[in-house]
Amino acid sequence: MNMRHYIRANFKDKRFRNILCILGIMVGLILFIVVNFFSLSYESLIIKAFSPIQNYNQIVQRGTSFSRMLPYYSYINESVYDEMELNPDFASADIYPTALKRITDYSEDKYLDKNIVFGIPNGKMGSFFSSLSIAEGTWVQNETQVVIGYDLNHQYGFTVGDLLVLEGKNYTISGVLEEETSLFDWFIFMDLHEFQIQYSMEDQLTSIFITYERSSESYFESEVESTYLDLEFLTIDEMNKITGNLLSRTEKTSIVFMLLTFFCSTLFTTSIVFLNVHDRKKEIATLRSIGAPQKDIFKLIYGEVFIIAIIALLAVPVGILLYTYLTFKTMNITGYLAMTLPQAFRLTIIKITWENSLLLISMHFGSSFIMAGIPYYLVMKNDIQSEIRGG
Amino acid sequence: MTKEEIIVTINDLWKSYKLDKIHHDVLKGVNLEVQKGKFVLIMGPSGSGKTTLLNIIGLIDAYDKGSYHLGSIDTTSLTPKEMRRIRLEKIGFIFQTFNLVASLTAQQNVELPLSLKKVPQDEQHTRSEELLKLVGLYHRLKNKPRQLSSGEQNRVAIARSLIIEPTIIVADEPTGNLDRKNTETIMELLTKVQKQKNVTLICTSHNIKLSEYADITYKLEDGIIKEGSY
Repeated sequence: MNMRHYIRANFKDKRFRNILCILGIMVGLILFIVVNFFSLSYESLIIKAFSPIQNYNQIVQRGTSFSRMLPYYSYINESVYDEMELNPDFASADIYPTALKRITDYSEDKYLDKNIVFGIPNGKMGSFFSSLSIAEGTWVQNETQVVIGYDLNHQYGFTVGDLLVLEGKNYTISGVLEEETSLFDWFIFMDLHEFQIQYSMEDQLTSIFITYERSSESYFESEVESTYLDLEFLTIDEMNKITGNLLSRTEKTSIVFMLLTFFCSTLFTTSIVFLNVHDRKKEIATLRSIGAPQKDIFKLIYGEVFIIAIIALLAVPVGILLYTYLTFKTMNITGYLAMTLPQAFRLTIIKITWENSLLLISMHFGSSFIMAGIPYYLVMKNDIQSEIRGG
Repeated sequence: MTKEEIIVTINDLWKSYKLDKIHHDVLKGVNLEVQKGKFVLIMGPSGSGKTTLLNIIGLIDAYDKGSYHLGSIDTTSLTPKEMRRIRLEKIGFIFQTFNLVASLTAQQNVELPLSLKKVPQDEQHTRSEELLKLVGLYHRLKNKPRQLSSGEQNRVAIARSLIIEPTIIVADEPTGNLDRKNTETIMELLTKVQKQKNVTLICTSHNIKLSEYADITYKLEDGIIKEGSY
């Protein structure tokens, strides 16, 4: 017999406990890797939701309400325009750069309230608002023109050719929308570039507007007005803050969950390791009494912990395989891996890096080794005879 | 009695323990000489200091005052490391509860001291098989302690104590956990192998029957050896 046989025999003798211990470590490690994956894939989904490159009218659920982001002009990719030209259906799918602003303004002697200025590149208005019809005149052709909704025409008597004063600047009305276009009755449409200069929004996101779920009937009736009065204008910083907060909170939750899992798993493992050594105090004392060198006793105790640790490390390839599988599954859903997304949309969020992961895993094993060391140290420190009697 | 024949020499040995902040003198000047190859029985009531004396003889415990020579070795100035080495080389132990390693087979338990001495495995097997044959457990080589009766476990413990070919064997109440019949069987076996191997056996017990097997019986009372009978 040699120490290897002894360690193996001990491991086999306590196999049920050791298997539990290994499972404890494996569950901890796999959960750690998978939860880390969910943080990353969630980030990928969120970034995708706010990304302007493809279909950026994603909806992010927030309880019973939802927020919807209109694209930011600066991030429009030229290829999107090309695609719009080729595919009119695609072009009508709300993908134009737009800008919104609620205004309170005077135009001559008329006080304009509850109106919204809608900025959109003038050449694209027709296709963007393909569902709307011009009752009179044409869509905006240049930056000095605006199109007004039915409300302005009906309430205030503005018509094609009239001057509309917005922020002290004159605009010529080039067209009037047809009656009862609902949402846009009190809108003013102007060129996006002009809009951004006029309302100092060059460096701003166009808008996020938040609506609340309601039945389709009420949505288009009396409540429309009050809904749109809740419009908020967000800068890109604010926008990043919102999405960043959303991600951070989710990731913080994930990390807390992950750390909790890790803590429980570590506690479980260390308890078993502790019990394993504690149960063998008498055996260690016997070994000491018959003259076993300290080195051999150390090997015996830590040999077993080492076997457990090595077997449990199988969780790492298992976790990575699972991680890879889930990553590719997510890529199929989102079309992206997080790392392939544009840098501008990579938000600063909390993430557990691989370095930190390795550190946590080391801490996990380290704590097991320390926990094995406590009873080992105590039994080595105590009198042999008291351990033999006490056992 | 010639100097060469004496394996244990104890002079005016004192040992005390501190229990609940109170000093208890367990051994109060013990004097003892043990000849090589003899079976010495130390008897006494519980708390008389038998186990303490045995632990000192087995170099498991240290003493406060006096002297103890194991053969030519003066144990007074031994370091813990030296004491451990002597235990491994020269002293065999038999415990009351046998203290076999539960995960090892009978043969592996017997081989354990040799594996600690890094003796080649072939030699370990040969010696363990020989000893298990001697104690009548050759058919139980591969059995684990839980598959053995108390008497059988005791025999494995005896074989384990003998495997290093010790100078002395210290046995603390070796039959304390056995019934009368098993006690007789074990004591017959123990004396047989002790004589056969010419090893010194120092044993403690409070069972008067064991004195029938011993060469010398000492009575330890109140920390002092009161009398010896041959």
